Amino acid sequence: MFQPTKDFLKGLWKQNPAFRLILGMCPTLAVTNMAVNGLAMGLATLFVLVASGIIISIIKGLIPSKVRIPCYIVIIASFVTLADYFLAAFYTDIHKVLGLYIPLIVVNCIILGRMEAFASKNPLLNSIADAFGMGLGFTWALVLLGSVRELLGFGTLFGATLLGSWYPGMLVMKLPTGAFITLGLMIALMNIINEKVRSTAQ
Amino acid sequence: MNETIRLTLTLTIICILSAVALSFVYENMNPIIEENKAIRLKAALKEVIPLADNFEEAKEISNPEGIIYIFKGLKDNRIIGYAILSEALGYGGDIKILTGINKDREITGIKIMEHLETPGLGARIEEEEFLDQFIGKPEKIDAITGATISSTAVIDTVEELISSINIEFN
Repeated sequence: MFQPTKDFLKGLWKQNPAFRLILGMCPTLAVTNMAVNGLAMGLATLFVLVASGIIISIIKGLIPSKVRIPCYIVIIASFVTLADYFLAAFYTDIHKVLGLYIPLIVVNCIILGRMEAFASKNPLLNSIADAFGMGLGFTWALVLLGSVRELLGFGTLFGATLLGSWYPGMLVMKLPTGAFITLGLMIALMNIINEKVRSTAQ
Repeated sequence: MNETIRLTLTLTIICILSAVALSFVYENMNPIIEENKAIRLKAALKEVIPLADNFEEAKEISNPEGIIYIFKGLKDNRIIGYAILSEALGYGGDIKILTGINKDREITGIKIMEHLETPGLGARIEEEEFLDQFIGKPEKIDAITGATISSTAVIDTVEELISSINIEFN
């Protein structure tokens, strides 16, 4: 397979940051009480991943390895600040909900991890593919967690009522506890699917 | 020595470039962000003092503890109410409450401006069902089921505000 395609696909499933690498747990657990919050957080992270990946892949030859981590952090922090301003200016409602968590993208280990493990060692095209794959993998994981928790906790999905007013809402799903439970179940489900795929392949 | 200079220089250049880029972005985005804030504040003031047609910050009143700012609600240049932003300590952090009061010390409107309460529980203090209980001169306000701390924080702060605030009407 074409190498960048491979780099892109691995983040979606095989090395999914939230479900396989178990990285970036702070936003994963904290913001996924509703699907739309998961989506916004996922997309903000995707943006920072791709933008920092491009810059770092381009200037990788110029950065001495001894100061590479502070250099990466400055670049990542700049894009996080940019995302923060952008949301504050154009998506005020989402910024109100996610405001607290946006600055924390800086310390999301998925981003520094991809810069260190991939963008600083690979050509531009591969780095972009990797960043998109990881970002989208993180986004779908957060949206799925948010959807399950929103449906069970509130009876709604993306704000639209699916279960009628008879549904009382599961309190635990609205709280961080629900995030741990849902995440565990998702990882278990993914393991079952991988196991099934492997045994049919054999 | 040479290496030290190279390390310092690289990091310095990256910091300068990112600072320049960010200040450019800030210059462009900040007016929009400030405008959004002003629009939100105006809408909130109108909501808590519905009869007023103009608002002015009441700088002449010194803010007691726990109060962030006070706005005058004007109609035909006469003060018909005050909107007071006070801070309460909720379950997840500070809750900022905007309360509109008329000259009979009745609550004309109340709005939660900022909070960090749990979505689906404490965050329900934003809902009309809870806030509408405050309108007028309420004697008893029901807390939200499962959100006693958040509700009590709002109720106590507003009660304290009504009984202690020193405002004048002319």
